[in-house]
Amino acid sequence: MKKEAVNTQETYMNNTHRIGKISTLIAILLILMVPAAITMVYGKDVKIQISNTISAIITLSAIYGVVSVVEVVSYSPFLGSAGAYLSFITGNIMNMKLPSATNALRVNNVERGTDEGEVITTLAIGASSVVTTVILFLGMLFLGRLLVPVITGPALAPAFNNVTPALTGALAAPYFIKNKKLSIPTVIAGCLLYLILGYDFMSSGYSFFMLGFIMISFLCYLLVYKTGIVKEKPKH
Amino acid sequence: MKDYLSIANSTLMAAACGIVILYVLGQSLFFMRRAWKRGKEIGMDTKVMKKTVSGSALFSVVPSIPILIILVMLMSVLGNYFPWLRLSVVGSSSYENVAANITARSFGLLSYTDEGYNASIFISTLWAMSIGILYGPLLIMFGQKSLDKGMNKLRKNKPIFYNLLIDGIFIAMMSWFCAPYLTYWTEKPEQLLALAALVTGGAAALLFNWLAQKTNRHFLTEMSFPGGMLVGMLGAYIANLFL
Repeated sequence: MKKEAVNTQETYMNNTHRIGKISTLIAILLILMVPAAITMVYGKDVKIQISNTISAIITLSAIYGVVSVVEVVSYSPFLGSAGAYLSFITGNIMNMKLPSATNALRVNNVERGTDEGEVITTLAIGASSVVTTVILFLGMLFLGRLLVPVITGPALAPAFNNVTPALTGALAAPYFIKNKKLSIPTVIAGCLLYLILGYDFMSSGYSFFMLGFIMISFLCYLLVYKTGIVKEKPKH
Repeated sequence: MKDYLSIANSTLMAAACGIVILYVLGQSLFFMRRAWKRGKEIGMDTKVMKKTVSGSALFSVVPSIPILIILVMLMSVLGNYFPWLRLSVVGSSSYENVAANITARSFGLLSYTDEGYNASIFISTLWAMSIGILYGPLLIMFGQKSLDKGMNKLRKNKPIFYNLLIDGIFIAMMSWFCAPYLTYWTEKPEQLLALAALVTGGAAALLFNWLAQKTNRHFLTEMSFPGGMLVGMLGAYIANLFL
């Protein structure tokens, strides 16, 4: 019976990857279809400046190529398999998909990497994607023009300008409290880096620094674990 | 010359963008339905799955609202439909704004709101912003299965190392996200609002969790994240009254 269950899960995951790859490829082709269609229909009457266009593509690729590597390596272990395919197609990962998935696992006391975890993260990320798509559709139609003066007005702007730090604090705090021995030195190290090197400098190489910080932090955790200062148990 | 807006706001543009967004919406619903079926197959409680969907949906409303600001900003220059596509599919508000400006600068303009913006630059912007954003999906397409397999192997063969890796990466990542909010106010005092939001949001989440343990009410655990976020926003609002 157990072997059957493992085989079924393996089949499910293999199919998830197959469907994920195919659906991602279709999405990529559709994304490129938009500029292609516009160029085909309107491009004959417009002089496209190819070298400037290529220059823009190269600059964006250099920046966002690196960012993508960092994001895939850092975020995808927390999104689940199907959730990763969905997240990287719908975007807004750090401020919506990652918190949705992480919170759903925590609230239901389900571990990452399990069969249940895969179901939970897919449902959470899917629901988040649907809601954002609907809100942006309404925003495009009329909601944007109605709400933006309210959100950016002096009364509510302080609240809406600080959604991301608010949700970061709400997401991080329970994990920090559960792992004080690891989190306190790590937060202090991050703060010292920002205080010494300055916000602008850190922003200029944000992705590189984030990847470096995560790697060095992990090596430090390995060290303190080996020395027995921190004990890690396999989760039940 | 603003006649590029006739291209940007054309029916063709609306249809092309609409098709992509409908597809991505369909993809989300398809994966959700598949996961739901799988959940029932492995004996998961449908109440748990329903709560996951509703909880995630509710949480996602508030963080979607600030994206509307970027949407309206981009719409004023790039027309009604392309910004809508970019913010709904793959992109994020920070990327789209930066990408639009970088493309404009490649054509000698100061930013995408510059007077010199025309049809040629607009069509080039469509290409540059569409291609520049594809690296994440491409990497996932080619690398996700191997990454997944590697992580699963690790989880089965070295569970303690795996837990340390997963917990460690998450804590390091969260610490990295928190650090600028904890320190930027030393350079720009108005960033005290971000600090207030972070700290009150975190404190509120902990309070919700503590109350959940004391009262044994699972609802409070579910509320700790979205509730913490809302309290954090309120914290920033109140801090602003004093600044």
